[in-house]
Amino acid sequence: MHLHDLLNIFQGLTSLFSSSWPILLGRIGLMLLGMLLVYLGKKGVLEPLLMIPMGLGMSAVNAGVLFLDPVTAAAATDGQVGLSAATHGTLMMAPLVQKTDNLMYMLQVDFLQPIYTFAFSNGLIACFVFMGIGVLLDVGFVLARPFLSMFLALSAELGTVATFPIAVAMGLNYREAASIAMVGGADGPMVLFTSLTLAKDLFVPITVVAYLYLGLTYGGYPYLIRYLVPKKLIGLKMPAKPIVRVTSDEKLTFAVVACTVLCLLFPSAAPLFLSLFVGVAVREAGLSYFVAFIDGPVLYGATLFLGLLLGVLCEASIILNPKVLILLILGIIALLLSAIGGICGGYMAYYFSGRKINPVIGIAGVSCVPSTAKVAQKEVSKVTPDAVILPEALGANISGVITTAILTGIYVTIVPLLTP
Amino acid sequence: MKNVWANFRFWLFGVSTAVVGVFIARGVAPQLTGNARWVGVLGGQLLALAGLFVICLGVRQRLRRPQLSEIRDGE
Repeated sequence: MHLHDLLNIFQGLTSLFSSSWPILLGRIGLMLLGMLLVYLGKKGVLEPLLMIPMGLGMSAVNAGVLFLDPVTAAAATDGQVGLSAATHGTLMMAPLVQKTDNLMYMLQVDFLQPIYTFAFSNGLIACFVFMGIGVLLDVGFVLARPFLSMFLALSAELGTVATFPIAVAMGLNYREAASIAMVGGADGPMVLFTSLTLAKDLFVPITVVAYLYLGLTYGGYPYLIRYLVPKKLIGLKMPAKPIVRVTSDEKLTFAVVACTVLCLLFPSAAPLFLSLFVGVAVREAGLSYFVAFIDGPVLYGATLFLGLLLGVLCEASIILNPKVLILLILGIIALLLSAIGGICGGYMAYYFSGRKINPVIGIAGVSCVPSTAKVAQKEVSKVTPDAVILPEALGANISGVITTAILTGIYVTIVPLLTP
Repeated sequence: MKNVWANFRFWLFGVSTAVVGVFIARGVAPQLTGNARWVGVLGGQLLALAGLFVICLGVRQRLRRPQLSEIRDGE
């Protein structure tokens, strides 16, 4: 037996060392990053529901590279490589396939290809997650405090709006700029939907950057609150208000009207609006079986496969793009600006209300439901344990989801008109 | 639906405003040219969103009237 035969048995290693240097380093780096994500997910630093499947997928896809036979290689690369070329690939997914014949072939070869083709690349998985979010939302918080909720939500969209021109100035085209600017909305499904619609070539790095950073909001925003808001104001107790009851008929009617109006305004984002409001409608109509189905299998199933597919998409040859560094910088700028905008909105609300409203609520306008609202309440409770800001924070949080969906609609509708 | 009917003016005004906004943004503005088109699109969108806001204000108004907030679903 020769060394050559041994290397053929362990093709993962052989393909690793037969790669070019950048790909070799990229694969090793991404395997290690995947392991780190699993560790941080387990520790609770990052969102475990997403990071554990994503990290494992990232490690596995970069480890499990083999030499594809010529027919599979041609199908996986859509015939862009000569049939005789020894092409590296995996048996997990071929995201670049476009031609129908090749796609049909790959559906029978790669085990995650059916989920990618029928649920991911058409945005269905983002819509499933959004349905789950809809079921968790109580729009009553917005209806009870419309001024405060919407004002804070609009303030917290600073990153989503301001990052667009910054991204254009940094060399991205309008479509890519709009997609990365959506990270400021801190809503994963919306970033996925926008990037799939506007910048399909960059949707993998944009979505990965978005989800990595969204995981960090839970750990990073508390420091930002402590840095931007003095302790005296963090602990500000708001005047107690009587418990208000917005009835389910009002919430259901609002969901129907809002969904219809928003779909009429932004048909390109209609799948997102429908998914969100169908969740709200099911909840408010009291359809407990549907609520249990969407809240359980749909939401958690979609989250599992979203994480897994995002991880598997992080193959070195796909993710190593010169624009990734720019995306990393822009992603953090977007989230930072949104948080600063939200807190500035909180300060304005504090002054306009005669110093009654706790400015920390502003950060809940960033629509990472319900993380930012929980972060705001947690920080306030640390200073004044009996101060309750959660109802107001949730109102801003839910408004944030709706305003981010509206901004998605605006970007998805207007940006293609601006692009030559 | 008693709470919606009890506050019907706000709901009607909000929905009407939103529909007019949609009509301006999607029906009238595409017929215009140049800057007028953009003004029409943005104005219509803002008007439609303002309509939704009016509905929220209506609900808030209802909550501030204690006798109406006593009405419950199915009563």
